[in-house]
Amino acid sequence: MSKIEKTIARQQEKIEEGQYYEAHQQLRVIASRYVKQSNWDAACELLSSGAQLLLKAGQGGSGGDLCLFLVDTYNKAELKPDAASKGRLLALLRAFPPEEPTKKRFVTEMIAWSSKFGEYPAGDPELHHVAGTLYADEDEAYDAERHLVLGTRDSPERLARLEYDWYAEDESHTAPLYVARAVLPYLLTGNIRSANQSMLLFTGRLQKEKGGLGAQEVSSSKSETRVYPSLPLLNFLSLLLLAVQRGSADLFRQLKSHYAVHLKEVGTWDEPLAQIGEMYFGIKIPSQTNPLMDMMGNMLMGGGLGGAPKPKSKRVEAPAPAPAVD
Amino acid sequence: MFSYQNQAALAGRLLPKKDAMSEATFAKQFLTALDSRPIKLSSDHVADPKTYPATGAYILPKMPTTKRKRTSPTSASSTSTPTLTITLHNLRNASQSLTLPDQNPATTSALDLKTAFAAQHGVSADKLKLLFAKKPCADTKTVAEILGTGLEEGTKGVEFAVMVMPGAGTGAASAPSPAVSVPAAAPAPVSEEPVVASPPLEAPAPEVEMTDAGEPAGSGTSGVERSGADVLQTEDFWSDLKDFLVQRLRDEGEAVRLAGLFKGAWESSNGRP
Repeated sequence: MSKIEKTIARQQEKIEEGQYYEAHQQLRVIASRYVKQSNWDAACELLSSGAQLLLKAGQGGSGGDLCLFLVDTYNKAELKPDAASKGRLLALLRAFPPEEPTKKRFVTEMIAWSSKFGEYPAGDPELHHVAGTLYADEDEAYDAERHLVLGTRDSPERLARLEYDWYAEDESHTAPLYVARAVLPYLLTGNIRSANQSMLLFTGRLQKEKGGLGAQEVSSSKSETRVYPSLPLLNFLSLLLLAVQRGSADLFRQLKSHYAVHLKEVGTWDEPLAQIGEMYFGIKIPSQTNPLMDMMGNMLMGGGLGGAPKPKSKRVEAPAPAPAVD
Repeated sequence: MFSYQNQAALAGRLLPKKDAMSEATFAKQFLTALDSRPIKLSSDHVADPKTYPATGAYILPKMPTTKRKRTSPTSASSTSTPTLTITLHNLRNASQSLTLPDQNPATTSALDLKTAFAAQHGVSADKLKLLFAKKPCADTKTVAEILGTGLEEGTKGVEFAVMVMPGAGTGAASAPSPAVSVPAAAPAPVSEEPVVASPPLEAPAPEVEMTDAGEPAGSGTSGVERSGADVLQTEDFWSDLKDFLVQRLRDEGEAVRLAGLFKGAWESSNGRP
């Protein structure tokens, strides 16, 4: 048995005896000593085992504290996100008791670590996916959205399910408001695939679970869509998903003007649609300061990342060799 | 402030007259207009996530009603989740297996299983691939996520297959095997398949495509196929491979020669003590 294993076994005994406070304090002290010696492996092993034991004993507060200590140690050690370093964090995240307040901070800190030392400035997609899934399981809709939008190719399935479950609690005609919560943010991250996938999954369930919507198949020589006479904004979103592939500004304007009355009633889609106009259709947003980007700047995850840099071009483009754009 | 809900039912009637064409008519016109424009982005286009700005994701403003909490949280209550006995088998070496009782499927990840297997058999975890129903499992997925809806009520145990990649440190894979030179003419798609490019692999599964996302390309079909080791024993596999080579190289003679070479290399690596 190594020294670390012995220490862990001793603290495990304490935790089993219910001496949580003492175990927590001792684990902290010993881990700090390893950190001072730059013995990162030992510190990480001790902290993750200790946190796991405390979380399993239902001690969310002290377990969560050691989790934060662990991410802090990752940062000091300048550890890169890989299967092992991410796996350790995710195992702890899954072990958190429900409604534990430190969990949110742990998620924020682990994303910030992955964005600092990994390849993804917006945070590691796998970490986002697991965090988003766990939030969705707890019905924390906004937090789930925030992470699933930046997740993996598995994320749209979970997000569409969340939005549909949420919609099922509301009036029948509100479907477009809920599916848009997946479709528009995915379009804003340049992820047409996930936008389409969440639309498909949502409308598939709508079709199955809400009879009598009277959907009509409409097709032209090359395209097809499903039209819901009673849900105009759902049709707007379907046509928008087809239009972003073409990038023709006049068609986008035509689409917006046809649905102008409905869009005005929703009221909250104007900003994302203006962004989509700029990203996919080359329609510049007139104002010098961009309220959406400012807002996103204020929602910085983690901190220490600085203000939102002025993006050079937000236009979504196909990878080279691309057909001539404009 | 939020008037949409009240007015939506009336929305059809609120439209100005000139726009009062039916939804279907407008959609048809719009689709026809779309047809005349070139497609610039495919329907499965994804911007490289590495280029996302280091800002949080944009989400739509809050809804008037928050999502209801289910009365019994499904995955959160670890105590009430039935545990599973998980068995891991090395596909090519029956003596390497591991049984893990009392695993909580909601918190045990594929990486946890690999780590446990690696510790038991003294191999390195990053040289292991975990398969369930012939499909590779991403490290970050939990057992519950991997099983998906396949987990029936009352299931007590599940089995996973483990592939040991070369260089794992011990076991059959440690014996250095003669490098098999693959002719430069070998078509690129084939050389990506571990079975052909490097015969000493422990348990090649040709129908399985390894990707980082852990998503097999043909996930819908691979479930009915036999596992990697078994498939290699069938004549069908080798004739499929030959057909592929014929198609790819458009040179039957060369294709037959290469297929024989691959098979011979596989047999000789397989015949090693």
